[in-house]
Amino acid sequence: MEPIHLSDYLDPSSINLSLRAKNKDDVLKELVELLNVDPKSKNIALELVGSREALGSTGIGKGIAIPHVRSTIFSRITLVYGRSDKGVDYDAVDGGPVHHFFLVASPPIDPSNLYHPILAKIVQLVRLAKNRKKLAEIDSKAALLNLIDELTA
Amino acid sequence: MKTELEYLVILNDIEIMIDDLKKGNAEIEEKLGFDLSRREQLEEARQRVRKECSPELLSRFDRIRGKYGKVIAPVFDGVCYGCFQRLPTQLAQVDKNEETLSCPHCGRFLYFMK
Repeated sequence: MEPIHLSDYLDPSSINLSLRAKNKDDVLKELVELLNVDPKSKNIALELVGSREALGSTGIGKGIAIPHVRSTIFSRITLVYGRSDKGVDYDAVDGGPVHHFFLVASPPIDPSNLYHPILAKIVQLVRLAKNRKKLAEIDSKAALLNLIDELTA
Repeated sequence: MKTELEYLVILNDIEIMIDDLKKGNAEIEEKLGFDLSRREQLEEARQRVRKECSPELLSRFDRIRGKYGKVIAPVFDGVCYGCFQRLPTQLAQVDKNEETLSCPHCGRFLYFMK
Protein backbone atom coordinates (compact mmCIF):
# COMPACT_ATOMS: atom_id res chain seq x y z
CA MET A 1 0.00 0.00 0.00
CA GLU A 2 1.19 3.52 -0.83
CA PRO A 3 2.18 5.57 2.22
CA ILE A 4 -0.63 7.74 3.55
CA HIS A 5 -0.01 11.49 3.69
CA LEU A 6 -2.63 12.97 5.96
CA SER A 7 -2.04 16.41 4.45
CA ASP A 8 -3.49 15.12 1.15
CA TYR A 9 -6.86 14.97 2.89
CA LEU A 10 -6.62 18.20 4.88
CA ASP A 11 -7.35 21.43 3.04
CA PRO A 12 -6.03 24.63 4.68
CA SER A 13 -9.62 25.96 4.71
CA SER A 14 -10.52 23.01 6.96
CA ILE A 15 -8.06 23.99 9.69
CA ASN A 16 -8.89 26.22 12.67
CA LEU A 17 -6.09 26.79 15.18
CA SER A 18 -8.27 28.77 17.58
CA LEU A 19 -11.61 27.08 18.12
CA ARG A 20 -14.06 29.12 20.19
CA ALA A 21 -16.38 26.39 21.45
CA LYS A 22 -16.33 25.41 25.10
CA ASN A 23 -18.61 22.37 25.01
CA LYS A 24 -19.03 19.25 22.90
CA ASP A 25 -22.11 20.28 20.91
CA ASP A 26 -20.61 23.61 19.94
CA VAL A 27 -17.22 22.21 18.99
CA LEU A 28 -18.83 19.58 16.75
CA LYS A 29 -20.78 22.38 15.01
CA GLU A 30 -17.57 24.38 14.60
CA LEU A 31 -15.73 21.39 13.13
CA VAL A 32 -18.55 20.43 10.75
CA GLU A 33 -18.69 24.05 9.60
CA LEU A 34 -15.10 23.60 8.34
CA LEU A 35 -16.12 20.84 5.93
CA ASN A 36 -16.18 21.94 2.30
CA VAL A 37 -19.78 20.91 1.66
CA ASP A 38 -23.07 22.78 1.19
CA PRO A 39 -25.23 23.81 4.20
CA LYS A 40 -27.69 20.94 3.74
CA SER A 41 -24.86 18.43 3.81
CA LYS A 42 -23.46 20.10 6.95
CA ASN A 43 -26.85 19.59 8.67
CA ILE A 44 -26.71 15.91 7.81
CA ALA A 45 -23.06 15.57 8.84
CA LEU A 46 -23.74 17.19 12.22
CA GLU A 47 -26.60 14.81 12.95
CA LEU A 48 -24.47 11.79 12.01
CA VAL A 49 -21.44 12.94 13.99
CA GLY A 50 -23.81 13.27 16.96
CA SER A 51 -25.14 9.74 16.40
CA ARG A 52 -21.59 8.39 16.37
CA GLU A 53 -20.77 10.24 19.60
CA ALA A 54 -23.89 8.79 21.26
CA LEU A 55 -22.44 5.36 20.56
CA GLY A 56 -19.33 6.25 22.55
CA SER A 57 -17.15 9.32 22.82
CA THR A 58 -14.44 9.77 20.21
CA GLY A 59 -12.47 11.68 22.83
CA ILE A 60 -9.75 9.04 23.18
CA GLY A 61 -7.93 10.76 26.04
CA LYS A 62 -4.78 12.87 26.52
CA GLY A 63 -6.51 15.91 25.01
CA ILE A 64 -7.37 14.26 21.70
CA ALA A 65 -10.69 13.68 19.94
CA ILE A 66 -11.17 12.06 16.54
CA PRO A 67 -14.85 12.44 15.65
CA HIS A 68 -15.61 10.49 12.51
CA VAL A 69 -18.51 10.07 10.17
CA ARG A 70 -19.35 8.10 7.04
CA SER A 71 -22.09 9.43 4.83
CA THR A 72 -23.40 9.39 1.28
CA ILE A 73 -22.96 13.18 1.23
CA PHE A 74 -19.17 12.86 1.03
CA SER A 75 -17.53 12.09 -2.29
CA ARG A 76 -14.08 11.44 -0.83
CA ILE A 77 -12.28 11.21 2.50
CA THR A 78 -11.77 14.63 4.05
CA LEU A 79 -10.12 15.75 7.27
CA VAL A 80 -10.73 18.75 9.48
CA TYR A 81 -8.33 19.86 12.20
CA GLY A 82 -9.28 22.14 15.05
CA ARG A 83 -7.33 23.23 18.10
CA SER A 84 -8.56 24.73 21.31
CA ASP A 85 -5.83 26.09 23.56
CA LYS A 86 -8.24 26.37 26.50
CA GLY A 87 -9.66 22.91 25.94
CA VAL A 88 -13.21 21.65 25.48
CA ASP A 89 -15.31 19.58 27.85
CA TYR A 90 -15.90 16.68 25.44
CA ASP A 91 -16.87 13.71 27.59
CA ALA A 92 -13.49 12.15 26.75
CA VAL A 93 -12.68 8.66 28.05
CA ASP A 94 -10.19 10.08 30.57
CA GLY A 95 -12.52 12.93 31.58
CA GLY A 96 -9.95 15.55 30.61
CA PRO A 97 -10.42 18.57 28.35
CA VAL A 98 -9.77 18.09 24.62
CA HIS A 99 -7.36 20.38 22.77
CA HIS A 100 -6.83 18.68 19.40
CA PHE A 101 -9.68 17.61 17.13
CA PHE A 102 -9.31 15.58 13.95
CA LEU A 103 -12.65 15.16 12.20
CA VAL A 104 -12.63 12.37 9.60
CA ALA A 105 -15.42 12.40 6.99
CA SER A 106 -15.76 9.61 4.46
CA PRO A 107 -18.21 8.17 1.95
CA PRO A 108 -19.82 4.90 3.15
CA ILE A 109 -17.90 2.95 0.55
CA ASP A 110 -14.38 4.17 0.06
CA PRO A 111 -12.88 2.52 -3.03
CA SER A 112 -9.37 3.23 -1.78
CA ASN A 113 -10.22 1.50 1.52
CA LEU A 114 -8.35 4.14 3.49
CA TYR A 115 -10.89 5.06 6.16
CA HIS A 116 -9.52 2.86 8.93
CA PRO A 117 -5.86 3.29 7.91
CA ILE A 118 -6.35 7.07 8.13
CA LEU A 119 -7.98 6.78 11.56
CA ALA A 120 -5.05 4.56 12.60
CA LYS A 121 -2.53 7.06 11.24
CA ILE A 122 -4.06 9.87 13.29
CA VAL A 123 -4.08 7.72 16.43
CA GLN A 124 -0.42 6.89 15.80
CA LEU A 125 0.38 10.60 15.33
CA VAL A 126 -1.18 11.75 18.61
CA ARG A 127 -0.10 8.81 20.73
CA LEU A 128 3.28 10.36 21.55
CA ALA A 129 3.43 13.24 24.05
CA LYS A 130 6.19 14.95 22.06
CA ASN A 131 3.94 15.01 18.97
CA ARG A 132 1.04 16.49 20.91
CA LYS A 133 3.40 19.16 22.24
CA LYS A 134 4.51 20.02 18.71
CA LEU A 135 0.90 20.23 17.53
CA ALA A 136 0.13 22.62 20.40
CA GLU A 137 3.02 24.89 19.41
CA ILE A 138 2.18 25.23 15.72
CA ASP A 139 1.18 28.79 14.77
CA SER A 140 0.19 28.54 11.09
CA LYS A 141 -1.83 26.26 8.82
CA ALA A 142 1.12 25.67 6.50
CA ALA A 143 3.34 24.70 9.42
CA LEU A 144 0.66 22.32 10.67
CA LEU A 145 0.45 20.54 7.31
CA ASN A 146 4.24 20.20 7.19
CA LEU A 147 4.39 18.94 10.77
CA ILE A 148 1.68 16.34 10.22
CA ASP A 149 3.55 14.91 7.24
CA GLU A 150 6.87 15.01 9.08
CA LEU A 151 5.44 13.19 12.11
CA THR A 152 3.68 10.52 10.07
CA ALA A 153 6.38 9.92 7.43
CA MET B 1 -36.11 21.71 10.74
CA LYS B 2 -34.74 19.20 8.27
CA THR B 3 -36.15 18.30 4.86
CA GLU B 4 -37.55 14.89 4.00
CA LEU B 5 -34.45 14.13 1.95
CA GLU B 6 -32.11 15.04 4.83
CA TYR B 7 -33.94 12.61 7.13
CA LEU B 8 -33.73 9.89 4.47
CA VAL B 9 -29.97 10.37 4.07
CA ILE B 10 -29.46 10.33 7.84
CA LEU B 11 -31.57 7.19 8.18
CA ASN B 12 -29.65 5.49 5.36
CA ASP B 13 -26.30 6.36 6.95
CA ILE B 14 -27.39 5.22 10.42
CA GLU B 15 -28.48 1.89 8.88
CA ILE B 16 -25.03 1.61 7.26
CA MET B 17 -23.40 2.41 10.62
CA ILE B 18 -25.40 -0.37 12.29
CA ASP B 19 -24.46 -2.81 9.49
CA ASP B 20 -20.78 -1.81 9.76
CA LEU B 21 -20.72 -2.61 13.47
CA LYS B 22 -22.11 -6.06 12.76
CA LYS B 23 -19.49 -6.63 10.05
CA GLY B 24 -16.58 -6.31 12.45
CA ASN B 25 -15.69 -2.66 12.00
CA ALA B 26 -16.36 -2.18 15.71
CA GLU B 27 -13.37 -4.37 16.57
CA ILE B 28 -11.11 -2.27 14.33
CA GLU B 29 -12.24 0.94 16.01
CA GLU B 30 -12.00 -0.53 19.51
CA LYS B 31 -8.42 -1.62 18.81
CA LEU B 32 -7.66 2.00 17.92
CA GLY B 33 -8.97 3.10 21.31
CA PHE B 34 -12.49 4.25 20.44
CA ASP B 35 -15.44 3.73 22.75
CA LEU B 36 -18.39 1.94 21.12
CA SER B 37 -20.06 0.75 24.26
CA ARG B 38 -23.51 2.34 23.86
CA ARG B 39 -24.65 0.50 20.75
CA GLU B 40 -28.32 0.68 21.74
CA GLN B 41 -28.07 4.44 21.12
CA LEU B 42 -27.79 3.86 17.39
CA GLU B 43 -31.05 1.94 17.33
CA GLU B 44 -32.66 4.77 19.31
CA ALA B 45 -31.33 7.30 16.78
CA ARG B 46 -32.67 5.14 13.96
CA GLN B 47 -36.14 5.04 15.52
CA ARG B 48 -36.07 8.79 16.20
CA VAL B 49 -35.33 9.55 12.54
CA ARG B 50 -37.95 7.06 11.31
CA LYS B 51 -40.58 8.95 13.33
CA GLU B 52 -39.80 12.05 11.26
CA CYS B 53 -40.67 10.28 7.98
CA SER B 54 -44.13 9.55 6.61
CA PRO B 55 -45.32 5.89 6.50
CA GLU B 56 -45.38 6.03 2.68
CA LEU B 57 -41.79 7.24 2.54
CA LEU B 58 -40.65 4.65 5.07
CA SER B 59 -42.36 1.94 3.09
CA ARG B 60 -40.43 3.00 -0.04
CA PHE B 61 -37.23 3.31 2.01
CA ASP B 62 -37.60 -0.20 3.42
CA ARG B 63 -38.44 -1.66 0.03
CA ILE B 64 -35.33 -0.16 -1.60
CA ARG B 65 -33.18 -1.15 1.37
CA GLY B 66 -34.40 -4.73 1.09
CA LYS B 67 -33.59 -4.77 -2.60
CA TYR B 68 -30.28 -2.90 -2.76
CA GLY B 69 -28.99 -2.33 0.78
CA LYS B 70 -28.15 1.32 0.17
CA VAL B 71 -31.17 3.54 -0.32
CA ILE B 72 -29.56 6.82 -1.29
CA ALA B 73 -27.59 7.16 -4.51
CA PRO B 74 -25.20 10.06 -4.97
CA VAL B 75 -25.47 11.86 -8.32
CA PHE B 76 -22.35 13.07 -10.07
CA ASP B 77 -22.62 14.93 -13.38
CA GLY B 78 -26.15 13.73 -14.06
CA VAL B 79 -25.36 10.06 -13.41
CA CYS B 80 -27.02 7.99 -10.66
CA TYR B 81 -24.18 6.26 -8.79
CA GLY B 82 -26.58 3.59 -7.58
CA CYS B 83 -27.19 2.06 -11.01
CA PHE B 84 -24.68 4.14 -13.04
CA GLN B 85 -27.31 5.23 -15.54
CA ARG B 86 -27.65 8.78 -16.83
CA LEU B 87 -30.64 10.67 -15.43
CA PRO B 88 -33.13 12.33 -17.80
CA THR B 89 -32.22 15.94 -18.56
CA GLN B 90 -35.23 17.37 -16.68
CA LEU B 91 -34.17 15.55 -13.49
CA ALA B 92 -30.58 16.65 -13.79
CA GLN B 93 -31.75 20.27 -14.02
CA VAL B 94 -33.95 20.46 -10.90
CA ASP B 95 -33.08 22.55 -7.87
CA LYS B 96 -30.61 20.13 -6.36
CA ASN B 97 -31.66 18.37 -3.18
CA GLU B 98 -34.64 20.65 -2.52
CA GLU B 99 -37.07 17.86 -3.40
CA THR B 100 -37.04 14.14 -2.72
CA LEU B 101 -36.37 12.61 -6.12
CA SER B 102 -35.89 9.02 -7.19
CA CYS B 103 -33.85 7.53 -9.98
CA PRO B 104 -36.27 6.48 -12.75
CA HIS B 105 -34.03 3.49 -13.49
CA CYS B 106 -33.36 1.92 -10.07
CA GLY B 107 -35.74 3.79 -7.74
CA ARG B 108 -33.10 4.86 -5.22
CA PHE B 109 -33.49 8.31 -3.68
CA LEU B 110 -31.08 10.80 -5.23
CA TYR B 111 -28.59 13.06 -3.48
CA PHE B 112 -26.97 15.53 -5.86
CA MET B 113 -23.28 16.08 -5.15
CA LYS B 114 -21.52 19.40 -5.60
